[in-house]
Amino acid sequence: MADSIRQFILDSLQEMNYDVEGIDDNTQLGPRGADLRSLSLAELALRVEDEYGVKFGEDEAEELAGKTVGEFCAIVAERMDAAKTPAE
Amino acid sequence: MVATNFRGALAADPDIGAGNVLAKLIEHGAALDGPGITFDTSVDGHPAWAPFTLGTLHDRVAARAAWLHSRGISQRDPVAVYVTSAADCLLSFMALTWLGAIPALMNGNMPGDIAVEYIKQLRGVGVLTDAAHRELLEGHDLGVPILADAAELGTGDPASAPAHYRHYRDDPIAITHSSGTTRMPTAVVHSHGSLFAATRLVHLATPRTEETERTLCVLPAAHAAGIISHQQALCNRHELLYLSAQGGQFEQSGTAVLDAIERWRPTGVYGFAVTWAELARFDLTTRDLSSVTLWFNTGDCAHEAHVRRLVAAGSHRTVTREGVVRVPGSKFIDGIGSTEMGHSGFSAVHRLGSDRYGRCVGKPYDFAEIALLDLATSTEVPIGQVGHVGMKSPTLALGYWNDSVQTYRTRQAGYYITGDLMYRDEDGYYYHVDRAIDSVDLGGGNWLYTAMSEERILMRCPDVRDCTVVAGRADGKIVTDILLLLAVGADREADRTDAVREALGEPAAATLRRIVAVPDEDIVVGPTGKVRKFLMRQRHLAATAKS
Repeated sequence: MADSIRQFILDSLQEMNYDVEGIDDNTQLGPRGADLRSLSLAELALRVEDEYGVKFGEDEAEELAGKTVGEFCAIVAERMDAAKTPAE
Repeated sequence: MVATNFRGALAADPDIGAGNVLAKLIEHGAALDGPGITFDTSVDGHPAWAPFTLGTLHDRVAARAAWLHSRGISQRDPVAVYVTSAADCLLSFMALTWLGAIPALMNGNMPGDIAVEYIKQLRGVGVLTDAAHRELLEGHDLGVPILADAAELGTGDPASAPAHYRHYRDDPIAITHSSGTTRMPTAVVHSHGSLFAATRLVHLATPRTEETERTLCVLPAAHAAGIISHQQALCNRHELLYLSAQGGQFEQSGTAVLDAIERWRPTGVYGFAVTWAELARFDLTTRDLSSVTLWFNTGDCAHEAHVRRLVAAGSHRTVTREGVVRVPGSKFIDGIGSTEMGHSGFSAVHRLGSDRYGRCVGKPYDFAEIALLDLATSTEVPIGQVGHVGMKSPTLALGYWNDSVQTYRTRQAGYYITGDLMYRDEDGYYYHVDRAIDSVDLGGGNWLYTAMSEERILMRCPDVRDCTVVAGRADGKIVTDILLLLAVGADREADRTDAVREALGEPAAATLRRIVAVPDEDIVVGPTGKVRKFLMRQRHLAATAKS
């Protein structure tokens, strides 16, 4: 699952005109790494919400700046699991 | 983690600081044809309003460094800079720090007699000035020579500038001064590390936004905020237009700021509280402020009445499922801070529809440790109770220049005591009630907080543009006079007693003596537009005692 989430994130960044060369699980989304703009973080969160049916709070997009790609994938996977649990 | 971009690389460089930003940008490979600074005056034949690139800016600073070097200015030499234009101020600052000297930046609005005394007390090596200020200084014993008019430094040969001084983080890189509302402006010395700490920890560490991509700065260039704001823009590689002298004479500065917004179309506008009070003279709906997404305030806390008008103007982009759209309304960040704090210590965000006002200054920045103290016991006061603001922060200035007494008087229990009074709520939000020196003990555990009273009066009297609460002791009892600056068209004779009494609350209302609508010139302000309450209190009480 993590692989497909990572690929979706990289594809999204590319569609949003970011150069994804050299970006891996250890790359931070914010200023210490990919340096995504504030609006891009919000857009990325929205794309992930639509793709995987998870939710991010209003202030969470900004906090993603401190996460690495790997950490972000883990958060998405965790929320997908949590979303499934009550239905089972 | 390895930084993979320019901002990250700058923030991770342990040697960058407020003394060498320009040199470090170039060392890190910033494009020389990228943004430098745009000034509102001509510089060395380069026209006003025409942007400097980073390369041309560097060249103009190198010329000045060469000139100063040829006159023997060297490391640790304090040099006063007493000029009007932002260009003269900031270019002199960059050239002096190039040499490891210590620019002592002075607000051009500082009166001549005070400036003479201030320069003497600096015990420096010289003064850079301009024609207008040279007139104020000539004939007075400054203790040091006037080296030149700042513009003359541009005649130096950039190729002969010496190698940039290598700064250590504790090196003094600038002396700036407080607003000077109570006495002689206090000279405060900043270090290479302290004045850059917030740029490193906040402005290079948060996601890029359009809000500051094109910044119009109306902050006074000679102050700590002037140094921080221009370095913040340079490091983020943003465009910056720097207006001189906060837009000029305060009564006309609102027009200057609005004209500059319409002409230059900034996304962010930076100013002190006086700028927002001046903009309150205008019907903002008649001006084109659509480019503005952010208003940033520092220094004093801004008034709700002024902020609400600003967030209703401008526009911002937001992400929706239909894509990125531009919607009406802007953001106002209120960042209370001071020269000594070396940056805003707190940050409060107001938007169209947000409702946390009442002098809420938000929460402290992550880099700052704040305690609200009872100074008698050096312990923290409980939630809801007013205490003195104590601050630990990497941004704190080194101390007061040539004044160890004051440096140590303002330190307690490991904190710098800012001179502000605040309380905090259970959610961790802080509220500024007054400057300690302006608050009045009414006895019985009751206090009159002048700043909080002004806030409440402005909210209850929409036709009052600004106001000042002056309280003091007359004939053995405390009396409070309310001085109102009315909006255009307001009824001068209207009886506002009930609204003012309600704003003051009991028992302060019992001290109310009179409410006076005054002309602008009756309000005495310091060099940054901050009301000189201490002086006004003395004058007003003396005048009313005679009458």
